[in-house]
Amino acid sequence: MTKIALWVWLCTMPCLVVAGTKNIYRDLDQDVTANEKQAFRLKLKKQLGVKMGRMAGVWGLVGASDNGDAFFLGKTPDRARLQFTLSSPQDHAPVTMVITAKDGQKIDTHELRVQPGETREQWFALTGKVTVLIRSANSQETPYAAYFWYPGERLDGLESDKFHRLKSGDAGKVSSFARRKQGDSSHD
Amino acid sequence: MTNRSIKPLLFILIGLHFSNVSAGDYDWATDGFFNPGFSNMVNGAAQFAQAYADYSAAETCWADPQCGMPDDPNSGFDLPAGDCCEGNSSCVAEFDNQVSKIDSALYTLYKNERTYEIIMQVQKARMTAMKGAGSMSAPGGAVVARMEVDIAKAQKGFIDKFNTKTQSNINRLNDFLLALGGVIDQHCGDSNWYQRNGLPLYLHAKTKFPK
Repeated sequence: MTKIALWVWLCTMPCLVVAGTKNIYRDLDQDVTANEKQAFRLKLKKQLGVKMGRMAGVWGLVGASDNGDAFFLGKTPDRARLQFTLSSPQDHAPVTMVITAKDGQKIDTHELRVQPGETREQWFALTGKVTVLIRSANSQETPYAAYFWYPGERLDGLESDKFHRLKSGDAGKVSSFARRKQGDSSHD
Repeated sequence: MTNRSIKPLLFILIGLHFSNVSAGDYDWATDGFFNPGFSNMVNGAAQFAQAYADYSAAETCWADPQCGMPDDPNSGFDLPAGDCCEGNSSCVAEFDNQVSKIDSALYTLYKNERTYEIIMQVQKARMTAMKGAGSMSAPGGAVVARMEVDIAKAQKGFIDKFNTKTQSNINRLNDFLLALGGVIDQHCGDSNWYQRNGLPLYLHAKTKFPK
């Protein structure tokens, strides 16, 4: 291993920590650019215990000399439902996340903003190249946590009203598909 | 230590120093620094996925009059144990044990049926979009025709895989129904329970689920 290779290896190792099936990118060295055209590719991965889709998380630091962190989540030709979660710890600055889906000439933009100590979760149905840009809302340095989940095409194909019912926990279920019928003779 | 061997060590020390500087006072190593942490997200997603699976199974059941109705949370199939078994606690225990296996087998069949419907809807929408794009130009049409073939192949592969899995699940259901018949036969000397109650449910699954 050359000195330069060793140097690069030592500096990047703490940034890429994948413990078990956890898929967390830690932007400790403020090495992720704010330039969305050169956004860092964040791969969503299957997680143990989650039967649907793929997830990824970022724990980063923005503000002060860091203009922001841009991540490229992937490209989807069909409309895909993704869950975005943004969190800022107590006693730090507010954080914003701008989500952009570029499908040819069509650009779809959404924004999430959290106050210190707040967490927000939002679902968006997006088509095209999906990137996110995370910034400190007042330029003060602040840590943030961002999580991304794509549950898969089974959820993409679900009608809006049913999806909202599911999201709000009102979807309903059958308590049992088979049960012992009581009070009857065995010869019925 | 020679000058030659000190140099790489210096590089390592400098590297470690700088890689830790920007971590500051934050305890990045633990999942608890952020609330929610990644584990919270994984748990939330797991619960959502479970709710989705439950809802999928329920929707298909509600669409099948033999299984249930949307306004009846106690939908499902009633399996009579009969007076002889009801009066015998060990028979009831064995009966209930088999019924819970049948419940799980039916849940899987109804859930997978909904997955099948959704995947087919997605494929159909893809095919429609593809045809729309293909009609715009002749060269485009040729590309789209090839893609349509690919989609049709993928669809056939999915149906074949679905049928294999479904057949295996139906056989599993039947094994549990036969075992339930065995419980009644053992405790009540009634060898026709499966013919009266198990077989109709097996036949219902056999005609409803495979494509």
